[in-house]
Amino acid sequence: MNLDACLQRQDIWRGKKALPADSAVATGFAALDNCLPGKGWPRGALTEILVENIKRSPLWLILPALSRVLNSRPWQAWIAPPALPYPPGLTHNGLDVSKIIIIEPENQADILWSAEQSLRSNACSAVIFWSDHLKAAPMRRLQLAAESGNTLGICFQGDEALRHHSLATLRIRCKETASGLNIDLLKCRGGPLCQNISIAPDSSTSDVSTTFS
Amino acid sequence: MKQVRWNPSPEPERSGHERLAVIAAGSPVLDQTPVNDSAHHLWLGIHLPFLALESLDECLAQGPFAVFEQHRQGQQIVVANQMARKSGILKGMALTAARTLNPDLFSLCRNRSLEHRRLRQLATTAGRWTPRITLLEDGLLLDISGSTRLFGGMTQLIEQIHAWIRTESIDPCVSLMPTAASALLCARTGKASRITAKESIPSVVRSLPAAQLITDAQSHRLLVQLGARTIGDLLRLPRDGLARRFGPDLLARIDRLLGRLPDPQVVFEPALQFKKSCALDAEVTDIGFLYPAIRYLLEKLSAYLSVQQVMVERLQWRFTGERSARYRLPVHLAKPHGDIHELERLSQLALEGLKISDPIVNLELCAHRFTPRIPAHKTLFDQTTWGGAHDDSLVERLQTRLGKHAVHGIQAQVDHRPENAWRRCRPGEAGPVSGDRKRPLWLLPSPKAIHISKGCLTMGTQILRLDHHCERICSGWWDHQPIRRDYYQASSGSIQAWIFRDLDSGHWHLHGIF
Repeated sequence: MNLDACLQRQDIWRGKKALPADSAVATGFAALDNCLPGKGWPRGALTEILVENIKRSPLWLILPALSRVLNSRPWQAWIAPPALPYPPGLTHNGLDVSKIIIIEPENQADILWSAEQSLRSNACSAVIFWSDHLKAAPMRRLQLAAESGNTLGICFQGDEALRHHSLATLRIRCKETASGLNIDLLKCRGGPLCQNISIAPDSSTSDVSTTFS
Repeated sequence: MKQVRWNPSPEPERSGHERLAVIAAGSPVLDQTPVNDSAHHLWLGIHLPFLALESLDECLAQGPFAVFEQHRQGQQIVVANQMARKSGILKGMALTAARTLNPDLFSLCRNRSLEHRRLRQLATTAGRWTPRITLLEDGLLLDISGSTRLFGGMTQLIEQIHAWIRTESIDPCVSLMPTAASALLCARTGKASRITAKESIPSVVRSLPAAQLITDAQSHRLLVQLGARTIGDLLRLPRDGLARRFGPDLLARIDRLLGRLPDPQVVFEPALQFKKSCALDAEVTDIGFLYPAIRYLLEKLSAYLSVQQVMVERLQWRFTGERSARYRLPVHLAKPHGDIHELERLSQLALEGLKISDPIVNLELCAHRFTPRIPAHKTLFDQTTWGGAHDDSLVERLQTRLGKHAVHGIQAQVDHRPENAWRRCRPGEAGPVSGDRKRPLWLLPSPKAIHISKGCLTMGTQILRLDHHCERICSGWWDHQPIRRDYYQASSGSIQAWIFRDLDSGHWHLHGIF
């Protein structure tokens, strides 16, 4: 392995400025981008997003990044989504649903297997999966798979994962607020752990309160 | 009546007067002037004398073994193996007589459908030398005139075919003749001739028994009375006399034999189907021990694919357990495959999910659906941006392990009803572009009721606030699933919900989340 190849590796920390240009995918939210070391979701690495209720995962948080990388590879794998990703809504947000493959494994082992295959395959622009708590060994395996496939890996997990150590490159926690999300960086390789980043979905809402008799 | 002498060469010298006389003899067939088939054919007749024996699984039995046929009078031996022949058992002998000669004789009834299947198998393999193959009752006819150059000359080709059929069958007779009927005749009578010119046919067939051309018993007796024992004798007889005594059919048969009448043959078209099983020596409980057998069967499939020039679309493995439990394991292919390594990888993947409770004793590979092989071509400069792994191989792997239903794509549909505005599809299938109205990112599988307490819409403990009056959707009267709903965007805390009020019942429901 020569020096250049060494420097391409995600697990070698060279300080904030030394990251290669395409090592991250912009999140689409300026406040969040500024806090992340590569100005976006790390590519070729696993990102853990912890949410209060996995059934209400904030898809809008990752959509801009997903549509940005969509055309780079033939597929985008969505593994074990908690509800139906609704095609009219996704196309409205600029995502070409024909590239999405929805994978619905029956058990946790198959979720991890599919995630690893997809991350490693070089055929997926991004792999998003919803999972129970990930143990250290599978997490490490997925992290390595994401590195070898240079794939954007995003894993949604419930809050209970907080109690455990993470091997992912980036781990963030989302708290729902009235206007959107409040994000804490819990683990961030190569950058400071910023707290309380507030972001809101682009949709504007008019505050009309209605009561019914 | 004037007699017309038989003349095997085309008849330039036959006068008009003679022709008239022939017509007067009342033979309708002779009205047709015999024509030379313009295309020059080379027919390879293959006769398999032990086909009835070979088509049965028991043919490998060591002891004396014979196949009999049920006649009205009794059971008659059709064919016997070498051990049986040693003890004097011959073809045509009554089964009871054969049993007297050798009490240890093992005998089975003839099975024509098995014989035909065996012939079809052989014809399918012979398809590697020529596409023009005809199935006979007891052998094959191969028209090799179109393939001689490809296989390095006629002699080489015949040698190849001969070498192959000798490994497949006992004492086959291969005979090359310029007409189908003569090739068949020579092969059946065991005359391994190599003739390419039509002019030489009479010299070869002259010595063959005339009974081969005549089938019914009455004509047979007549033949004996005439003293015509060989075909040569028949050829010497006057044509009109032959026609009168034996019917015009015999003349037509002789003309076809000598290539004076065209003799079109039904070309065998192999049904594309692959089925091969492999009995395991020992009972297998560990999947890992199945891999060599799987590889063996896949190699057979690969050979079949290359002979047929096709690719396989779907595979199925069938396992039989010791206690006759059966497992069926489909291998899903996203696109037709011809590559054995890829098929092996997918099969192993499919096998990982198999749970066996019963030791496996038999393994079978089936393939029914095929598509013509398209030669692979590559660009000079690799322009793909991804690592070169094929697009579909990921989908294939996932489907093989998780099942076809578990891996799918989604697409929008042109329908106003939210439930019908999408559908599952095959991965990569593009759907219509949906409208530009704002829609949620998640849709609930079925709408969830929202309660009204104290005049507010509540979901759990949270109060929903209506943000927009979105749209009224009334649709679906044509397929008996009509809806009449007012959809709103609502928010509660950070959740942006898509809710509706059913105009018929007045109830509120949650339908999606943004």
